[in-house]
Amino acid sequence: MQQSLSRRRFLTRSLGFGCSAAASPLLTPVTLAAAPGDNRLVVIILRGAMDGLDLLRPMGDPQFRALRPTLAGDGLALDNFFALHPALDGLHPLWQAGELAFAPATSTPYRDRRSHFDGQDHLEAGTAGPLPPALQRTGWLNRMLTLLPQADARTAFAVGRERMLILEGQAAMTQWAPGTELDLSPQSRLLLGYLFAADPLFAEAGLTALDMTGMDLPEDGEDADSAMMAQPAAGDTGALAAYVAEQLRGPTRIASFSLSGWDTHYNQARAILPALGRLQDAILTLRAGLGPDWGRTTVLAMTEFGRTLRENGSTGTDHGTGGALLLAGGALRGGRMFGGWPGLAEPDMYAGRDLMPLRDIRAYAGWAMRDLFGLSASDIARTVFPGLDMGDNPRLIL
Amino acid sequence: MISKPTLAAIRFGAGLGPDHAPPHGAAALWDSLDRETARTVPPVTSWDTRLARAIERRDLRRLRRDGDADAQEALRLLNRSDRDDALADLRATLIRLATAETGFFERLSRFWSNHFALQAKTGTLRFLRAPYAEDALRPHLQGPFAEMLKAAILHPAMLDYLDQNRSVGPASRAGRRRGRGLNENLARELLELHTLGVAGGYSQEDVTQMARLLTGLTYTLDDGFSFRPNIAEPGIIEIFGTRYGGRPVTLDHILTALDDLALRPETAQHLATKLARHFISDAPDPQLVAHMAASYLNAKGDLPALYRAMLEHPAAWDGPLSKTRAPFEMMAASLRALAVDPATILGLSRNETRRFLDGPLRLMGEPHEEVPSPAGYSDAAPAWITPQALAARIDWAMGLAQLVPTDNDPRDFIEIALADAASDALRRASAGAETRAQGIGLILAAPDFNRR
Repeated sequence: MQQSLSRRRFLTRSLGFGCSAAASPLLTPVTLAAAPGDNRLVVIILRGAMDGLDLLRPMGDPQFRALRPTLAGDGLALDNFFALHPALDGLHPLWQAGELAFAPATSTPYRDRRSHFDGQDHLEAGTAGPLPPALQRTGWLNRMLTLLPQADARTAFAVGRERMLILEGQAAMTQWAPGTELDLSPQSRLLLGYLFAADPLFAEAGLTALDMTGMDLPEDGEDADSAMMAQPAAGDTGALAAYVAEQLRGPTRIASFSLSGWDTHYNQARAILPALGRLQDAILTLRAGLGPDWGRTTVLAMTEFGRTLRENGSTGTDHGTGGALLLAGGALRGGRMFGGWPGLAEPDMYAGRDLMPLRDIRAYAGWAMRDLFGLSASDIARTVFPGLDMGDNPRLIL
Repeated sequence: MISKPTLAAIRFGAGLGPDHAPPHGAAALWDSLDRETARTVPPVTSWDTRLARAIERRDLRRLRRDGDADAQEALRLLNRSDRDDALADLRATLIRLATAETGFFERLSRFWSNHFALQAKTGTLRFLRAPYAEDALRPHLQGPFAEMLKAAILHPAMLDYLDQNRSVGPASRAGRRRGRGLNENLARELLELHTLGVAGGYSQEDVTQMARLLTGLTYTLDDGFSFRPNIAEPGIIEIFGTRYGGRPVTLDHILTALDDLALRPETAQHLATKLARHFISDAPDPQLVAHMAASYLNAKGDLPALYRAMLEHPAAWDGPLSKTRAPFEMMAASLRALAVDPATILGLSRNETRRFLDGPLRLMGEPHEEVPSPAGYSDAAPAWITPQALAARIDWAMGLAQLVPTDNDPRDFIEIALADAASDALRRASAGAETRAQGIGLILAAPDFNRR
């Protein structure tokens, strides 16, 4: 009866958001990958250079208020030094429950040029210095997948409109976003499949497009009913995060997506609010959507670099160096700060203007992956983050 | 081995079509440039119109704030007519490319529009990409790069997009009185994206100095661009060993610095690399790039010398076609290959334009009036080829093939659309389609047609 109602249409309907989530320029791809074991890892890339000092305010630092005349308002106290941006009030209960943590002063090894685009490439490639040619199109999450012997590449898939470097590489990834339709005759489908398969540049994307639009609705009504129960949160970010949570409740163990809108050069007090709202939405929706599996989930929200310690001339901030890593999840040893604080006095700054990073952000990601997926630290330092000094285990995971 | 006319049409132009003989090679592309430069039809919305609309919007918002009951409805109508203008601009620019003699000029125009990428921020200025390109970029496509650079950097659309109108010299009169200071957004992108390139050897100190030098650039809706000495940083500012500025502060100091930037070897290298990557290959022949950069510098930064150096170098004519057509280029090439009557496209209604052009472009990953960042769209061949974007291409190709009334046999159409760039596999597959329309849609959706 419902022959023409294909699976993707069904997914779209059950989630109630059609193309709009994927079409938003502020939301870029969600990538999902299946891996063995019960632990889940979600990496959110915050594009545009998130101001760690605004999200996580060092109220106890005597220099803070002087550096930030319009951006040092009171936040929600986390400990006797740091306060959370008031717009993240929905995350405060997670801190109290031990499901939220921060590394306040971290960064990638990328220094001084402060280019968003270079910085994001380094963050996603997970390399230090200029990218070696062999790593230019591979991301660290993909390289981590190659270390998981039971990872089923065929069930691994990616959701989104743009390519996302962090999950590109040898481990075959499929990329998708819900809401795409393709009405093709079986013969056209067959012929196109034959043409795409013959062209290396088009093969993977082309065959995925044909596969994902060709899936039929399950005949039995039961699957449909259970999926119909999945309620999306309001807004594009929430809808996308709900979709990610649904996959993570299934065989998927690794997901990555990005949230933009952090490049707050002007009037930051107002300009940062939508981005903070999206980040909070994403985390709370993952938490709600994952249900009992939230307890086995770790979320890392990382950005390409931090922003200047001093406000600029237009009540915003410019491109800087060190910044904060946000961690969330029920698997987390949370409710604490990792890695110390460099201080904000002039001699403590990086280059006299930026927050001094105290630890490579890749070390946090590396230790999290080691503890979540049972990898060896030496494999991570060799394959996932080549040349990284992992240092001591910060013990992020319970 | 693809023939030179086919390469010329597909790699450097708008593609092949029954109404346009393919250019024989470099000379024919070169000759077409002057004729295409003079072509401004179909027209797009002028920048002056955009500014006038912005003033109207600002005034209506004030009235609404003051409780004017009719202002809300007037704003709604204004926004609707602005959106209609933007859709008309989309139709017009698509037809310009689809019906150009060779399309080389229009392709260059798309390239520079992405090089000096910007979009409207939420505010009074809206839907401005096509009017900005018309006003700031297209008049300078055939002149010295410095002229285009100055037109782009000083343009209100750019000053707004990269916050330059928010930047104040800390030691300027306004800076001292109101305690305001620098915003280095435009200064950084000027060095990183528009001139030297990220590998161009500049430092944070250079960015800061450039930000100091750029102060004073601003605009108002009523007067457009203006240079305001009272926000400009006074004193000598040294950048790359050259001293600029001094008292009194004048716009000339900034223009001189932009002139100098345009002629730096790093800029020549950056522009040559980007242009060769755009047209020829993700990894262009280093000798080709070196030849282009040297020719550019020899010609004192003249852009035609850069284009000519690319076209005359043998490596520009090596096969195979390794780049991918951007969604907009693919649409235009399809319309050209099918010889769709321009009046049909130009006559599309608001909703038809959304359904047939605007919506599909968004799904293919290149929404009209938007850029992903100040760096513009990625120019790497695989960047456009994601499963979902490809699904959107297939969908559009199949839909177009069904809509266009054509007696075209796919076996004939493939010769028109691809000539000797068609693979044997595509010849067999298109001949094996169930209907003529499906065969034609298959050709438009196939890898062969989506490469350039």
